Amino acid sequence: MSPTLTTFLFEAVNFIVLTAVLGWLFFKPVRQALSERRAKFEAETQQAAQKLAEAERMQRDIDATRANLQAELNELRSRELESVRRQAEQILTEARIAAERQREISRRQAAQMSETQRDTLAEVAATAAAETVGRLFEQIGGPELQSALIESACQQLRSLPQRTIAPVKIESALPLSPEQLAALNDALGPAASGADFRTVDGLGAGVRIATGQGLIDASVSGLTQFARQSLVQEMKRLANNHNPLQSVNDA
Amino acid sequence: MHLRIFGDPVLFHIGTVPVTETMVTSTVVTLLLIATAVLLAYLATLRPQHWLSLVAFMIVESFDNLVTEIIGRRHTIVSTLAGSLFLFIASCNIAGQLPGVHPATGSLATTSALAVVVFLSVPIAGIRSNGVWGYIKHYFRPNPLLMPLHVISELSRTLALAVRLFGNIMSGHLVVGLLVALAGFLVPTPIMALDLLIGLLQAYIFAILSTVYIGAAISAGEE
Repeated sequence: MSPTLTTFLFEAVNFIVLTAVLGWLFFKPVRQALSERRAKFEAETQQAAQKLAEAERMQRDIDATRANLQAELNELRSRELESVRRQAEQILTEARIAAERQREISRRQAAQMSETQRDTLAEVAATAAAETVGRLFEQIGGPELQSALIESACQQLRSLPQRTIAPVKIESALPLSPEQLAALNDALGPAASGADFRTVDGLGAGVRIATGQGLIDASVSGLTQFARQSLVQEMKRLANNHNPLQSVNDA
Repeated sequence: MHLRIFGDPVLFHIGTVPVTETMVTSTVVTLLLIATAVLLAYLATLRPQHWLSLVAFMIVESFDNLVTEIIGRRHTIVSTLAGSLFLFIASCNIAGQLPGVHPATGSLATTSALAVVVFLSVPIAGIRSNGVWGYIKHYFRPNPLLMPLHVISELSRTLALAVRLFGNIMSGHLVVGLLVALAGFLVPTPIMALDLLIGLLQAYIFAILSTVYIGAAISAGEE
C-alpha cells in the first residue's frame, strides 16, 4: 500500500474523527454551557430590569409618600403654629390679666401703705405739733393761763342747759383759787352743789369737767390733744383732696 | 537537518500498512487537541469563571458568529467543521515550529485529505439543506452550459485549498530549515515567527474558505 495514499486516507479519517470528537466533546458542551450562561445572563438581566422597574416604582411611591407626608407635615405645622399662636395669645392675655391684677393689688397695697404712712405721718406731725403747743402752754404757764382756761370752761358750761349738767366732776391741774372756784360754781349753777372737785396730775394747766352732757376739756393736755386730733383730721382731709397716689398710678 | 518537499518517510508498518511520520504527527496533534478540548469543555461546564473556560467560550462563540455572518444563519455543524479545521491546521502548523517535528500540513496528502473532506462536505450540506434536486439544479444556473464550469470550479478550488495550505506551510518550513542549515541556530527566529503567523493565517483562510463553500452550497437553493 502506498504511503501517500495511506497517509491521505488516514488524514481524512483522522480529521473526520477529530471533527466528530470535538463536536461531541468540545463544541457541544461548550455551546450548551455558553447558552446556559447566556440564558443566565438574560435571566439576570431580566431580573435586574424587573428589580430596576420595581425600584423605580418604589422610588415613585416613596416620592409620592414623601410628598404627601410633606404636605401633611406642612398642614400639621401650620395648624400647630396657629394653635401655638392662639395659646401664646391666651397665655399673654392671662399674663396681662394676672399682671393687671397684680398691679391692682400692688397699687392697693401701695395705696394702703401710703395711707398708713400718711396717717402715721399725720399722727407724728400732729403729735409733734401738739407737743409744741403743750410746751408753748407750759412756757406761757402762770395764773393767767389757768384763769383763761377756767374762763373758757365756764363759757362752755354756760352754753349747756343747766338741768342736764349734773353730775359734774371737775379735775384741775392746780388747786383752784376762790375766784376761779366761784366762777365755776356760777357757771355750773344748781349742779355746783353736787360737783366733785379734784386736783390731778398730767393736765398741765386748766380744768377738765365731766358733765352729764359730756366732757369739757379746758386743760393744756386737752387742748393739746384737741390740737393733735384737729391737725390729724385736717391733714387727712387735705391728703384725700390732693390724691397723692396719682403719681403711683402713673408709675 | 533533513529537508524534504514531497517525501514522507515511513517510520514503521502495522501489518502491511505503512505508518508515516505525518500520520504520527497528526495523530499526536489530534490526541493533544482532543485532550485540551476535553479539559476546556470540562472547565467550561463546571467552572465557567475560569480563564480557560473563557478561552473555550471565545473559540466556540467566534466560530459560531463567523458562520452566522457568512451563511446568514446559525449552523452548528458547519461551525463545528470550521472550528475543527482551524484548530487542527493551526495545531499542526504550531507543532511544526518544534525542532525535529515535520508539520502534518506540510504534507500534500494531509492538505489534500482536508480539502477532499471539505469538497465532500459541500454537496452533503447542499443536499441536506436544499434536497438533491435543489442542490443539483444550481449547477445548471444561469445556463446549463455552464455546468462543466461549475464542476471545474469546485474541483479547482478544492485543489487550490490543498495546494495553498501545503505550499505555504511547506515553503515556510523549508525556509526555516535552510536558514538553520546555512546561518545558524538563532538567525531564523524572525522567519519562524513569521511562519507561525502564516500558519495561523492559513488555518484561518482554510476555515473561512471552507465555510464560504459550504455556505454557498447551503444557500444555493435560495438564489
